[in-house]
Amino acid sequence: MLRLLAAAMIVLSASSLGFAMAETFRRRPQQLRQLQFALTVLSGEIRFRQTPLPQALAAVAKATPMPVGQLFADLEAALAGADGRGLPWAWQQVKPRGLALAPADYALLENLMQVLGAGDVVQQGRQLDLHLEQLRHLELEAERSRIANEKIWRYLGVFSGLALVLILL
Amino acid sequence: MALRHQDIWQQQVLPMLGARIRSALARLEAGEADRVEEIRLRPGRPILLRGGGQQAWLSPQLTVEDIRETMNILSQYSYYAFTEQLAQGYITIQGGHRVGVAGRVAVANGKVTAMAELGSLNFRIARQFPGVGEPVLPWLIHEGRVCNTLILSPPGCGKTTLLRDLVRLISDELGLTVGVVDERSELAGSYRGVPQLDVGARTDVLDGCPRDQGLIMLVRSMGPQVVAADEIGVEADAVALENVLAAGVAVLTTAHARDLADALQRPVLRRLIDGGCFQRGVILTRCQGIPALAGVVQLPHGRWLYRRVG
Repeated sequence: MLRLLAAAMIVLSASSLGFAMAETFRRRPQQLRQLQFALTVLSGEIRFRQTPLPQALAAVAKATPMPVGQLFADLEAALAGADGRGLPWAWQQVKPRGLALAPADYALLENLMQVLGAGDVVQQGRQLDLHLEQLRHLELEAERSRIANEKIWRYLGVFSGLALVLILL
Repeated sequence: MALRHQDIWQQQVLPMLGARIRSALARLEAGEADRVEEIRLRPGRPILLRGGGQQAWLSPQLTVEDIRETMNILSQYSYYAFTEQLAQGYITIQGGHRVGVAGRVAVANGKVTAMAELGSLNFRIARQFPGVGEPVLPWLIHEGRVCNTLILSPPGCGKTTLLRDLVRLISDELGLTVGVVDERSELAGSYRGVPQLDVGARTDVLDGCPRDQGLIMLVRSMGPQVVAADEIGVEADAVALENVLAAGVAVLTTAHARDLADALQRPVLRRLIDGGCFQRGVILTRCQGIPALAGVVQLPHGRWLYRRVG
């Protein structure tokens, strides 16, 4: 009886590990889509209303689903305390929470922070378009990697759990 | 509405400065801070304070970084939101204070398009002088109507200050609806569309709007009884003014000129004055360094209604 319980525990924890890994592969393209939505909102605020960044970031944070929206809320808060040190500095203060983004995605955002706010409306629009396009590419890549990995990790979790049980039996 | 100078300093001026500049200025005593009219920031130089005809250097020596931090705060990290203002050479901040900007300018087709690199900044702290218009206003009313009035003065004699107070008085005391076209955000000192200086409770402001278009927009949309605009001088202004007058709206405006004869040297002003657009001219001067009223004339013929003695 105890053996059976232990075996069930092993299978369960191994498959939940696998499912968690699969989940990050599933969430990354979704969050990249939300990021694109966020940048589209930002682009609208800048292009058509010329809203200064603190208010524009607040609008983006409000419009974008969590946890991606939180990223912009945190950035706005960091900017409020930046005391003139600039957006790149504020971005460094932001600690992303609950995101499934890859280093390449953060590198793209970091790159955006270097140029955001630093040009006229036309330039800013072009920069945002460029970053949006790159986000689309990242999303496609993330989608491909989701298709390739999501199921594998799930099966891997379950089967490695089962394998471990078999070995231990 | 009117804040004490100390509150203006604490709430509106200090928060807009970079950290090092702010802490240097925060050490000033209240009495000293009250007298500051201008803060000049230049890289490689100490802070220069001016006020009450005096000036004083204040350490530390500023760096390009100090200027950039201050500019970041002023522009809310958003150059794109201030491109137009910067191409004109200034930013208006909350409280109606104006920060002049100098540096390397970018030019396209002979027009300044951008402030490409920052050099120095000049904070001019806006102060209101409620009541300066009171002795003038009675001269501008004829048979119960506000006369079309042209204020003439050399720079720095309080043209805009007088116009602002006249607008406030006409709005609050006479109870008339006033429209203000504030092309350079000087008259009402608007910040995000809200006047920061007291221009009266019955006053509508078109902020940052080109004068000629703004005058016609106001008459069409806001139904003003009086319109005011600062510093007319080009042909387009004259055409717009003629349109406004044809609509039966009274006009208050200003122009750079030492006196009436000087104003008549300028073709656009001459055409407006000789054409009978204005009924009153107010002439300002400086008396022992202090802005003063030189007199009020009847237009177009220029007979003195009131003239300052001495």
